[in-house]
Amino acid sequence: MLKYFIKRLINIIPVLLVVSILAFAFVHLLPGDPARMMAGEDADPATVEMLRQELGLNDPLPVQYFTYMGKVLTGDLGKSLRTDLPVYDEIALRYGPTMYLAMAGLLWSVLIGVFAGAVAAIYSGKWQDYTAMFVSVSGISIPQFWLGLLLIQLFAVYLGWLPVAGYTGKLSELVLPSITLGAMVAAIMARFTLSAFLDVLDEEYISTARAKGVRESIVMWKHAFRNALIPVITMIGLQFGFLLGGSVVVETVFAWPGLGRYMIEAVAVRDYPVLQALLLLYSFHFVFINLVVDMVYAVINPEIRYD
Amino acid sequence: MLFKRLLPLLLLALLVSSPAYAAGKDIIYASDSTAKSLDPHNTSDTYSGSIERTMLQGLMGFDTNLNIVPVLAESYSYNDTATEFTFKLRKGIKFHDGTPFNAEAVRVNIARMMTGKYKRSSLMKPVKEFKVIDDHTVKFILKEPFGAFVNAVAHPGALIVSPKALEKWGDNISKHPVGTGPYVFDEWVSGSHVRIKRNPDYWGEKAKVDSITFRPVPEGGARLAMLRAGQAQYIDPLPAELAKVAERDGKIDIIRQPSIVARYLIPNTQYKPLADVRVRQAINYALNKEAIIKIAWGGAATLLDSVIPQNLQFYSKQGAWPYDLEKAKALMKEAGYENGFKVVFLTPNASNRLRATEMIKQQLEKIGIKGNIMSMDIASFYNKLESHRVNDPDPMPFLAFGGWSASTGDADWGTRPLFSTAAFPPAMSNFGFFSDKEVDDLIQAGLSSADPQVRRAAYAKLQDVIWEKAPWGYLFVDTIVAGRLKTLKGIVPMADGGFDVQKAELIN
Repeated sequence: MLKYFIKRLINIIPVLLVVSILAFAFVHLLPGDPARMMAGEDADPATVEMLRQELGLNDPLPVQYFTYMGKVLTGDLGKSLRTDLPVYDEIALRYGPTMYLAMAGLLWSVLIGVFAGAVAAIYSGKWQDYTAMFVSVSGISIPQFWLGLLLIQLFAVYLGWLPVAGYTGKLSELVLPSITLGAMVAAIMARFTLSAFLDVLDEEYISTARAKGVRESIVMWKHAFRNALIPVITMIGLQFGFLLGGSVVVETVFAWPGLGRYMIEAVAVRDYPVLQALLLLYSFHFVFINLVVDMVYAVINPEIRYD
Repeated sequence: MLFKRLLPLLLLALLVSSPAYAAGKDIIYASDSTAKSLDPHNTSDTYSGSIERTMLQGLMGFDTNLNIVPVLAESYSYNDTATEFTFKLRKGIKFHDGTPFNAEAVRVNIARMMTGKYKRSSLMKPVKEFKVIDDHTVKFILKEPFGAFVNAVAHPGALIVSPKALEKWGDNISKHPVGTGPYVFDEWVSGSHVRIKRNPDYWGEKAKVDSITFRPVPEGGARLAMLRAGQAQYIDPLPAELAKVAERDGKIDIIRQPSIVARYLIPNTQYKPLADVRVRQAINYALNKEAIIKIAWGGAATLLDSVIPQNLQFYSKQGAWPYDLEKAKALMKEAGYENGFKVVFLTPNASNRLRATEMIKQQLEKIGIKGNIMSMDIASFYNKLESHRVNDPDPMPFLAFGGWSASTGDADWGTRPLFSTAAFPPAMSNFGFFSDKEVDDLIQAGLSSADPQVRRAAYAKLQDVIWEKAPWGYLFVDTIVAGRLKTLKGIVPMADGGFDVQKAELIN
């Protein structure tokens, strides 16, 4: 198992190399000149040209790519074109808030989502089912943007209990953004758990278990739930990957100093080094999370083994 | 079920959140912008520049209406040909790190700018030589007459940084600004906030608040919510569509200040129909500016009544092009385009600009000028405009939604890069390829002297000449709309889109 894990870990490297080429090409193919955007709307041409020279934007693309990768391999992600600050430091600064928010949002939404989905499956066709699915459809349908502003109005402006926006390290600042962020994930998890659960309940081993007289609660929690968890875990991994990219909407509404907003700000001014670094980071997240998910399968279902 | 699960979380939230956000002597300034740099010589955005101005000062500066006022200089003088500018420095001032402010400190800063390596190096481009006359007198000798040079010295890009700090931090000065201003730098958490503290040893009138925190809050609704919850004392901008909500809140003052951001429609004069001055005049008659301001801009604008906004130096009012469809149609007929022609409407995809362009499209359809809208993000938009060249055999028939803010506050930077023949792209921003000998001459005349009388006369004539030739479809000037708690006094928006917090004060 450990050997397999390490092998998979090494396999990430070629994937990231391909991603780096794609990211570089994609970012440079966007129309728009970063030097122009950096110099400001009323800049004079000499300043723009000076910046182009300094940033090496006049070199051929392959040269720019190899220069860039050479630096990346030594751990230097370059400097943000927009702020002149090292990209590594800038991302490190925003990684914490995004990770913190993603984990908080994921934690409560998985607990509630999986629970609601399981309840809906067990009480299929009863009021518990309808209630859980009504809430979950609402969760998917409410735009995050609107939900966020609504929560702000109620809990921050009207009741005055919580801060409106921003993040300075207080737990209270995490409440509204994580609820907003988690609402949709909870809804997705609930629906996903429901369908996974129902699929499993149709399996023959469930009928067998019931036929041999196993108690219904044991059938549900030991036989059905455990097996239904496999696709659910995959989904959790996928959702976590997305959340780690930073939610643009939630980070914007709540002025959260995370990666999602950083990405948007970077796209607007064609901040190449930042975009490339973020794309690499996002790809790494997904590949790595997939690996972890595969490992978790083995824990849940002892039949799955890796050699 | 969901609520039961949420309840503990909410109770927890109640426990940990401090119940009162009572403002002490600290102010939170929430804005849609993010600080990008605190190195004045390498700053290209107004927001960062305004934060720098709280800590750093220049020889000269601007008041809120962009009039030039002396700051670290006591006085200045210049020669008749506008090639030599001498500044007498204030005595007895020290930087926050104790370094004395003197001619040597100015020299270090100007020399840094003159290396040409920084985004604001262009401000010192006219300078041939910088001379220290004595400990408190400095002289700039220019390559050629440049009447607007004092504006360059007053620009936030020419703020003076402690030479000792520059030596210590080099280009990392951006994270460690040290100046002479009423506030000192406290901390900058990139993406989160910049905080400044009161300078107890300030040489002038001392600040009345302990600290100010500048927080980026990109969403307008969240900004207003912060103000209403008392978690911010000042928000900028207050989105025009939310102004009504804010008005109903008795705790809030709404501040409106005309900016120097001009909005206009750029016709490509290389395209034959748009080369005809009568067609361009017809466009001006056919545009219902008031309607566009009201609907697309939420009322937050005033008519553009000269080629430069009223808060730029040497502005001279020209009146307006009234909305007159009959006159517009007559002019189109006279020019031989009774049946109109096809164009492409170029615009950045920001929602207000897109709305405005949609209205412009509808209005121009009435005189037969028809076409589709091509909208794109701002970087692609400039890329598109800058890609055209003079004498293009197949010029793109565009009408582009343009905007300009002349950050030096002077008529020169409000006209030369936009209307002179030398400013055709890629050189500068004359995207419509407007070219006129008389206009070129008058632009030069405005720079040939530093005498305000001479310059005023040249720019008055210039504005008069350009106005009739209609190189643009003249639209409007943005109004800055900001929100402030009534308990806060002294923070005011500046016409260049920045702000002044020197006199900030909390009252009860």
